[in-house]
Amino acid sequence: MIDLITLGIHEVFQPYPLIFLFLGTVAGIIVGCIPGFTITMGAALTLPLTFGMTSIQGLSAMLGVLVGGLAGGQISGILLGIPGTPSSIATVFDGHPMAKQGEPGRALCLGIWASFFGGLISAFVMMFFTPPLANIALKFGPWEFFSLVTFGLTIIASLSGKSLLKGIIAGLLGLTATLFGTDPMTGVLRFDFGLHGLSGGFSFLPILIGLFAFSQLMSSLEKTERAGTALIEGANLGFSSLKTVKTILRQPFNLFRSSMIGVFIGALPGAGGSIANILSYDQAVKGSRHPEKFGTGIPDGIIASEAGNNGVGGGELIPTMALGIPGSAVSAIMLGALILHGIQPGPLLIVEFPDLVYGVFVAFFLAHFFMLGIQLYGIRLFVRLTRVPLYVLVPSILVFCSVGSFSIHNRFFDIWVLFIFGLLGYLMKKYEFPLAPTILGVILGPIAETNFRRALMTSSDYSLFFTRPISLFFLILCFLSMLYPFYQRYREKRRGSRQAEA
Amino acid sequence: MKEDKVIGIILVVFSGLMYYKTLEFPPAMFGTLGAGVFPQILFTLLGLAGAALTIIAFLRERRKGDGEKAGKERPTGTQVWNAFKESLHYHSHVIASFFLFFCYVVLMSYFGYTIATLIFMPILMWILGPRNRRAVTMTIAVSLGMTFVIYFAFVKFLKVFLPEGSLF
Repeated sequence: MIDLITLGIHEVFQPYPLIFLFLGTVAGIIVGCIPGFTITMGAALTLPLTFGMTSIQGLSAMLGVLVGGLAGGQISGILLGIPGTPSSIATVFDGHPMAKQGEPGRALCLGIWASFFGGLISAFVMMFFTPPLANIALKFGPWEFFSLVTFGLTIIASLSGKSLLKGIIAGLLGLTATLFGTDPMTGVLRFDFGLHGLSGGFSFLPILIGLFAFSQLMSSLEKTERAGTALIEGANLGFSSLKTVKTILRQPFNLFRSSMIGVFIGALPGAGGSIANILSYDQAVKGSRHPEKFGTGIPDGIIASEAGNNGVGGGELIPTMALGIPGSAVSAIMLGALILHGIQPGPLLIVEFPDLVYGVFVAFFLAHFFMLGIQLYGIRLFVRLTRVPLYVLVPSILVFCSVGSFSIHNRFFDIWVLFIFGLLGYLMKKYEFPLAPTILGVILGPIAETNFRRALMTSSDYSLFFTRPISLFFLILCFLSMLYPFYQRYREKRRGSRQAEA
Repeated sequence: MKEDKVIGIILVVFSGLMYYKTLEFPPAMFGTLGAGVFPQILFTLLGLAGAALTIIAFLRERRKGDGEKAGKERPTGTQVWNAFKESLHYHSHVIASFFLFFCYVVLMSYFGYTIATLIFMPILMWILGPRNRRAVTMTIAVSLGMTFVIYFAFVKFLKVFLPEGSLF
């Protein structure tokens, strides 16, 4: 093991791999923090640039984009309330309130360090547990995926805020948004109303940006007088890394749990980062002694979301490296990069190219140090963003969002999707419907439907959902997760009455 | 909230129409579930949730209404008009932004990214921004800068397509 790691270190610690890793990380952070530009897109754009490099150089650049992108999404999430990538949706819940209360520097610093620790934990897991974890991930059939997704949907309850009913409606709206277009299983056109654009359905990213960016920007434009001012007034730009690290390390359990959730969700093919951060956030709320404070701008929420989201990085690489099965679109592009360089990923990869595999591990590890350095150095620069007056900020972001939505699929219809969901998002916010459940529904809807129907196509026996152990495990979790809020309320009430007595 | 009643009814009607639409889908050729089953489940749930929203809002209003009815009069026409005018003023920037963005997308579909952005950005910035020399300078600089930075970064450097108009 040690000699393999030294081999990897020897591969990476050379001028060119280090330079490309650094540049990749910078590019990743930039791509991550612009709403509408995803890590997948960053990786896809980096890929052709790696053609001329050696395999370890190319992979270093790609890993940099992955790590930088996972961490970069929080910048716009915290400062503007618009998640830069789907992986930082939950960071907005507590990060943006903290920034609004005048501490954007602290919120960013917390997010950066949490990403760093989360990523390191996932790097360790990846180095030591790649084969066994890949084996568990392989056991996931449609039954397991459906149960996992059902468990994911129970999170709606803790994302609902004031009214559970409105949360459920928001979640259902998200689920129904995925029904449009071609049916994933039989190819039947659903609800296309004769429009050509609708036959492809609504893409996920324009929905996400539309809901979050428009609702956020437009509500800041209410009250006509405000447009000349900045988004956050009187912000305290200062931050202290030492204090932040202390805050994070005082919650070792939250940090570790969130990172592990990230690793595990990352290792599963499918949703990856977009679910992991919400799941870890939810678990942090449920495990907390003061769940009512979440959403008001507390460090716990930022830590959970960012650690979970960067944990995904290591997780995604596990099936990619061990089995040659990509865990997500980004790792699929990484896989493409490997094949381009004449390396066939799969179970034999570790045996045939140990230097490369451990090089990837080391580069992934190192990318986190670059990410930390670049972001901490950049905080002062990022925070200036909050001082840009709204009349400059709003049109610029709207243009970025349109370009980003278009360039994912080169589909003009996606800009209309952006507009439609922007309008919907603004109205939902106006009438106090929470947006997060809708996003959750959009992410989980297709996975739920496809796997449910695939399961029944494989065997029409419904009981398989309960008799397959992993599936049963998630259904039990799902049940517990639904009961937990009631238990939490009961516990609070009892505590309240005890305090009243005393 | 007063609006909840209306939103609930809209949801029920929407779910009903969509449910009706699913009946046109062909039945499953293989497997147990056709294309319509999942949508049917979802729209049933959404319809029920919408109905619940209306009913709860209605009940809540009645409970509150019993106590308040005595002292409250129906608002007069002028009051309603004034409230509407106030709300319009409060939301004027939001409405303008949505409308301009709509126009932007339409323009882009005809004239492509560059021309549409060069029209959209300065107009929206001028509407939103303060009326002084600094803001005007800023408007011109940022509109030109953003349009061309994005154009060069995407088209020239990364070789990514930007929306092209149907007229050119």
